[in-house]
Amino acid sequence: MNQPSRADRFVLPEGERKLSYERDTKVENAGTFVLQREDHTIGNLLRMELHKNPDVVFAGYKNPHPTDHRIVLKVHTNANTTPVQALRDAVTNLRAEVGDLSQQFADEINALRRE
Amino acid sequence: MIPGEETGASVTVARLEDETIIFDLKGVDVSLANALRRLMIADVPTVSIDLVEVIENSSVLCDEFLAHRLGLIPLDSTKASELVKPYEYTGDDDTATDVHLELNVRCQSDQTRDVTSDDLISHDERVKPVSFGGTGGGSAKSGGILIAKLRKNQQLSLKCIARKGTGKDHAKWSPVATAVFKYTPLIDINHGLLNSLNGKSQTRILYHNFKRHNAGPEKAAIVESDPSKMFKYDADTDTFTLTSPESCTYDGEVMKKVNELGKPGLIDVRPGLDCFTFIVESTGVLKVEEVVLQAVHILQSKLDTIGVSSCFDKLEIQ
Repeated sequence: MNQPSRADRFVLPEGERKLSYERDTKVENAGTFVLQREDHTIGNLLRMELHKNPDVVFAGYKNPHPTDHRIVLKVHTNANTTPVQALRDAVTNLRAEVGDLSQQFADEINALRRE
Repeated sequence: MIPGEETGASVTVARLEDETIIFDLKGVDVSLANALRRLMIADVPTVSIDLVEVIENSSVLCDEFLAHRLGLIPLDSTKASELVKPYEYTGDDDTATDVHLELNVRCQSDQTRDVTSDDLISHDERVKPVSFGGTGGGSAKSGGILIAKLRKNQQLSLKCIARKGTGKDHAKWSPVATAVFKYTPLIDINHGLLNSLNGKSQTRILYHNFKRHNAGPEKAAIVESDPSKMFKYDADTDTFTLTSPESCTYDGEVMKKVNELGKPGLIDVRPGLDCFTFIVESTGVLKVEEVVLQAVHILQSKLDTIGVSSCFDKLEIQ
């Protein structure tokens, strides 16, 4: 069949990196991240978390094409931080928030089930 | 975010039934709420029939039609964690990825024979078609899901292979029937203005000589005007109450009515921007709380793969 494998959409090809970064050649403290095999779920989440950081001047993401299974995330920060550091902070903050939610949800369910 | 709290995020489960959960998520951004919704639909793994080998099909339905119907049948996926997705498995032990099911039915009687999901025989203890125990919505009397109908001497003999997958591959692997969220409404009733409705309608009472229905017409009119039916008015005790804020659809009709009555600001309905009400219904393959819990865990592991420090350290050098 003239059709790409269904698994291509979510399995990271061997040797490919999940996350890569390319510095902007002209602008200081700006660059582009590429997240392989991710979609709007993570793209939008990271972008909005980056917006919460006052040192981030710009953060935007796109899915270049529906059959291109990657997310391109552009980040521009001021001199206080770097795009890599900003993304690292964003992921750390989100991880803490989601961990907190997970714990709370499990507690709620256990309490309800015990009743 | 709510000031004073560290992460600000909080969850409260409003209702939990076998297949439905309603919960409130407070103090988070829309992007997180939406990520959670998308994960529940497309990333929580379940088991579904993926390959069908047709040995005999003399029914009126063609093979691919049957294969499609079989794929959509919910299979109990509580033990899906014991299986491996075929594209993630490199070994050659088929039992790690495949679950075999069989369907062998021949109609012997003059009456039409309904073939349902109850006729599917699983050769694996881990995975079975979801049993609706006779109370389900299936049209067949047994409560199983109807697959085909057979006439006398028609026969179906199929071998099926079920595999683990996710909703982003095919919707048949999605564990949810409904996964939606909306802004939780903030509804303010200005009681001063509400009481002021009395005077205006009392003149009316004189005309119509009503007995006790003091402010009835106008308060009842507000209740009537609301297509989302959020308010109740009891004429006997003259009490106007907010009874079901969860049915709010932000249609703005109440506010329109209140303005019409010349009392702008009597009722204010607006979305709470960091507060979401989720309604999730499972298809029956997983317990609904399990779907939400797994979605949160998948989000955690996704963030962990991105956040692995080694990943970032290499980036810094470039």
